[in-house]
Amino acid sequence: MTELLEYIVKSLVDDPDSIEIKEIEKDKTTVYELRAAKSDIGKIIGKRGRTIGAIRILMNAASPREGNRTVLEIIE
Amino acid sequence: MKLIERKGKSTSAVISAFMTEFDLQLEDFKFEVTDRGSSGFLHLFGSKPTKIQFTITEIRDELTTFIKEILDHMNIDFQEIEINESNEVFHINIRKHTDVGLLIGKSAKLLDSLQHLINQMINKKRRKQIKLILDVEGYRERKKQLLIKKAKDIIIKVKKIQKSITLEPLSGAERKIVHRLVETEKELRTMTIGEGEFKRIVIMPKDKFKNKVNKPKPKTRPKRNTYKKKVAN
Repeated sequence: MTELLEYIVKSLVDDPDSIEIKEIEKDKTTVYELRAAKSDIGKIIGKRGRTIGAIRILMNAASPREGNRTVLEIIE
Repeated sequence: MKLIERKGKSTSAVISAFMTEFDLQLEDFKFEVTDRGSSGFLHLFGSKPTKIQFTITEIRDELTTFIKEILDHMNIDFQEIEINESNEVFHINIRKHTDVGLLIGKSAKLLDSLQHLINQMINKKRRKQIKLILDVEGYRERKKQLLIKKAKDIIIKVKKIQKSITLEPLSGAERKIVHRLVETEKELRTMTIGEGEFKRIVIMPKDKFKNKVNKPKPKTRPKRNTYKKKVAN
């Protein structure tokens, strides 16, 4: 899952080296904290949050277990 | 992928000559210096040219890699990725024999998301943007035919009852199809109402449309006096 997120985000940004992903499991929810270069955050979010929304949809579809929630947060 | 070799005095000279030769931008190719060359003794004897190997990155290959990587990471299996180009639009069809719905998602949300992300990825560094349509087993094409059929039925109905009919909310691409279809009908007009995701098309007879156009909503509120006068009339 982290690999999927990492691959997508790194292909979107100009500075892939400063991408950091932290995975935190809380019983039925997995939280992914994403850090990126300041100039790239806009690219990850996209117009009206379209890109981040698309990433969230992809992650939820790839979520292995039923009833498991994935949460994606961008940390500034 | 094509491999092309060029020789020249210096690395930068070879690259710029290559770019003008094939009319390419920096993002269109990769290169590897296979021989650094040497300027020789006192620039007189035994000078060797710099050799560079170029590979022109094809959009098709790039697209295939992006889709393959994402689907592999999502553990979604598929048979093949077909890419056809027409009128500068890339039609990508993912061939998948089982669980097609898995890749389309609820009301094509997953497919649309995937298309959006691939679009962002491929156009990141391009000055000339690439247009693409992502499809699974011809799903979008089938949907389009279904929409056309539905719109045609409504067109017949509007003509018959001479009253306007409002369609369910459609996406931009879908609305375009309906608008184009109604354009061919001389006695009908279309209008869009609503905002954002809830934009709907209204198909109406021509004379009804004229009434609507002749009575536009006032942009500013009329002054109190004039308003009163109008009411009095």
